Amino acid sequence: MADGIVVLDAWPILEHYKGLEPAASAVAELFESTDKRRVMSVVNFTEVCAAASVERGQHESHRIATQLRRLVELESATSEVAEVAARLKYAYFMALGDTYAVATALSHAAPVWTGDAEILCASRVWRVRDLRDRDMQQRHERRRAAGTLRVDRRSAVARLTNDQIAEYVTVPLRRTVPTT
Amino acid sequence: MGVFDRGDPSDKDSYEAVLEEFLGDRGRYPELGDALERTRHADIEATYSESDLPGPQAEFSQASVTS
Repeated sequence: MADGIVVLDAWPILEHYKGLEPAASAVAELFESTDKRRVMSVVNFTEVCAAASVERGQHESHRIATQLRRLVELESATSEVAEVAARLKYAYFMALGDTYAVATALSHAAPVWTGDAEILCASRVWRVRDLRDRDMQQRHERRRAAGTLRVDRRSAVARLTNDQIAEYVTVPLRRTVPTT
Repeated sequence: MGVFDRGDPSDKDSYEAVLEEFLGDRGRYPELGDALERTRHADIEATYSESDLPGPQAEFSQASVTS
């Protein structure tokens, strides 16, 4: 386990700028620490910048981007990580940004910090830190029960065991280049 | 791993100045974030429907999972 690495989804960064707890305090503590690497996929970085652009304009979006460049390791995806993201997209109800946060975390054997309901789904085979408050957890559960929030696995893989799913999504990370 | 840009805590003065600015921005944009949820929800809904997928476990023999 890579206990010294935290993979950040876009979600907790936006929660920081919104000032919402417990995510804001968790992010502040993480950024002030000296013993943990903070990694974010460039796809999730894009999500933060896009949300800021849409809701606050280009100037503020660029200001946020400039901050994050200094505070977080922004990681572009290898083709192997991209293939893991594709497998996640196939197997789970997840947006592309969700899949890159999880694939990046799997590539580091690290937890992903988030409050995103899809990443926190019960059938996950990756490590998480749930940064939702109790109200948001309950809202997500009510929406899931009402069928307006689809999480967990797609039907094509619904009957696979957790071990089989983990094997399936992480195969690209275990490929090695044949030596002659 | 394809890191193209990184925060560098060893550049202490610069890092701490940016961190101070970042921490000072806590709560600066209380309405921020709805766009993320909308975009992700739309992405999930727009992805092929369940009926487009192969039948349950159709391609998931143990061999196909691990090969």
